[in-house]
Amino acid sequence: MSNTKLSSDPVVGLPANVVRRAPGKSAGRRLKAVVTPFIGLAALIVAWALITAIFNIPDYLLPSPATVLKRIVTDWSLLTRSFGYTLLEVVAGFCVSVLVGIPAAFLVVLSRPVERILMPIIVASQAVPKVAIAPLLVIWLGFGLLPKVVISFLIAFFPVLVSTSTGLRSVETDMIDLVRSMGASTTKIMFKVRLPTALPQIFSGLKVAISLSVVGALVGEFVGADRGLGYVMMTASGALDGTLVWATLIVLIFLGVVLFQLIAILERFAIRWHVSVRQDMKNVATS
Amino acid sequence: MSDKVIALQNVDLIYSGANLPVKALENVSIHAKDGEFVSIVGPSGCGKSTLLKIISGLIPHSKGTVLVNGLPVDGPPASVGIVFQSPLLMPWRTILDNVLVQIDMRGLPVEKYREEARSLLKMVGLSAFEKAYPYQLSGGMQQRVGICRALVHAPQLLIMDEPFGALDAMTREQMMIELQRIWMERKTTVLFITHSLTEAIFLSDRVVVMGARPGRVVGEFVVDMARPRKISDERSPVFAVLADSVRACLEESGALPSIQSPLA
Repeated sequence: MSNTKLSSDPVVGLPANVVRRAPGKSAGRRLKAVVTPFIGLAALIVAWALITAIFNIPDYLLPSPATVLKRIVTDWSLLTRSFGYTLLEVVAGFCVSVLVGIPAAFLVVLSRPVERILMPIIVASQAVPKVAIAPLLVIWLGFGLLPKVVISFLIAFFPVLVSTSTGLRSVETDMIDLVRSMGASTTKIMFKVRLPTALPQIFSGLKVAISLSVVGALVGEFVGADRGLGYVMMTASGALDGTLVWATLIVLIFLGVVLFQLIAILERFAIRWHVSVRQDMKNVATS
Repeated sequence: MSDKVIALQNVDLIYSGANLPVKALENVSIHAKDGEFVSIVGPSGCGKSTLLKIISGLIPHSKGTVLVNGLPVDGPPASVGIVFQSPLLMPWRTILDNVLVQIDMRGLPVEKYREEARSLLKMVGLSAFEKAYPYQLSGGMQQRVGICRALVHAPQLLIMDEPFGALDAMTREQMMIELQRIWMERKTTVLFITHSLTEAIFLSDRVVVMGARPGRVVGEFVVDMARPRKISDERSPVFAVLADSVRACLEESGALPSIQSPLA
C-alpha cells in the first residue's frame, strides 16, 4: 500500500529514528561520542602517573598507574575470581531490589492504606545506617553470600521504590480522566498509562540502585567475608600492600561502570521495545 | 424523549468539603437532541468542567437525573468521546496508535478499528503522520489527533472541554472551520464547553449560558444561522446581536464586568 511510501517520508521518518542519519556524518559523530569520555579519563591517568613520578611517592601510599596495571596482571586470577564473586552479590542485591521495589511502588500507588503502613517503615529503614547494621547481619546470616545480598538490597531498593512510585504518580489528572472516561480499569491504567509514563523515572532509579548495590556488597565484604573484591581490599590494606589495594579499586571501578552502562543500554532498549512491539503489530495487521 | 442524547434534569452537585459543603451545581437542566451542537459558556468556576465529569460518568451527581442516550449515567457511558483542552497524547505511541487508545482502553478489538482510525486521520489531513510521534506534531495537529481519538468508536455524543483554548488565534479559526465540517459530515451530537463567545456562537445550534457560584443555567440562545458558517459571518449583524445578548446575560449573572467599567 501507499503506507510504505509514507514511512520513508522525510518529515515522518527522520526524527522517529535518529540512527538513520547520513552515514559519514553519523560515523564521525559516533566515534566522537565514544572517544570523548576517554579524554577525561586519559588526562586523569596521565596526571596520576606524573604525580607519582615527580613527587617520587612510595608504592604503599600511591603506586603509579603502570605498577597497578602490572599488579592486575600478576594477580589476575585472584582479581577475576573476586570480581566474579562480588559481581554475583551486586547483581543479586540489585535484582532483589528491583523485584521488591517495583511491586512495592505499585502497591503504594494503588492503595493509600498500604502507603500509610509501608512508607514510615521504609523511610525509617533508610534512616538506619547500613554500615552499622552490617555486623548484625553477619552475626545473623553468617559469612556467605546472603548478608551481602541483604545489605545491597537494603541500600538499593529505596531509590527503585521512590523513583517508580514518583513516576507512576506523575500522570496528568486529565489523562487519567480521559482514559477513565473510556472505561479503562485501574489495572489497565496502571500498565498502559502509568507504567509507560514512569519508565524514564524508573530507569533513573535503576541507575542509582545499581551503583548503590556495589556499595552495599562492598560494605558487606568489609564487615565479614572470606572472598570478593572488598575482602581482597581489606586484607591488602591490612598488609600495607598499597599496590593491591589500588589494583582491586580499579577492578571495582570497572565493575561499577560496566553495570551502570548495562542499565543505560537496557534503558535505550526498553524504549525501542515499545516501538518494536507496535511495529510487529502493524506487520501482523498488514499481512 | 428518546431522541435526547443528553438529558440533565434539575441536577445538583454538592462537594462535601473539609469545612463546609460546597454547592458546585444548582438545579442544572440541559438537553441536547440527536445531532445537535450545543455550547456551554460561562466564567471560570461556573461548573462547566464539573458538568463534563458528571455527563462522562467520572463523578456522581448529588440530585436530579442525568441521562445519556436515554440511560442513567452510572460510570462512563459507552457512546461518548471526550476532547480536553490539552491533546493528552501518549508520547510512546504513534499517532495512529494514539487514536486507537480509545479502542484499546474500552477493550474493543483494535484491529477492527484500524481502518476507521486511518480514515479519521485522513479526514483531518494527517494521513502522512500516522507513524509519527506526538512530539513531531504542532499543537493544532495534536488536537486534531485528539478529536480523531474521541470519534474513532463512532460515539453518539462528543464532549469538548475548551478544546481550542491552548491554540493560537489563527489555528483556532482553522479548527473551528474544521470542527464544523467534521460535525456536518458525521452528525454527532456535540457538547462544546468554552469561554469564548465567538467559538460558541460560530459553532452551535444552541448556546447555554452558565453563571458561577453555584453553577447554574442563566440563559439559553438559539443560533439561527445558515451552515456552513464562515469566519466572515462573525461580523454579520445576526452574530453581533447574539454576541451582545449572550454577553448581557453573562453580565447580569455577574460573570462579566459591565461594558461601562473602565477596566473592561
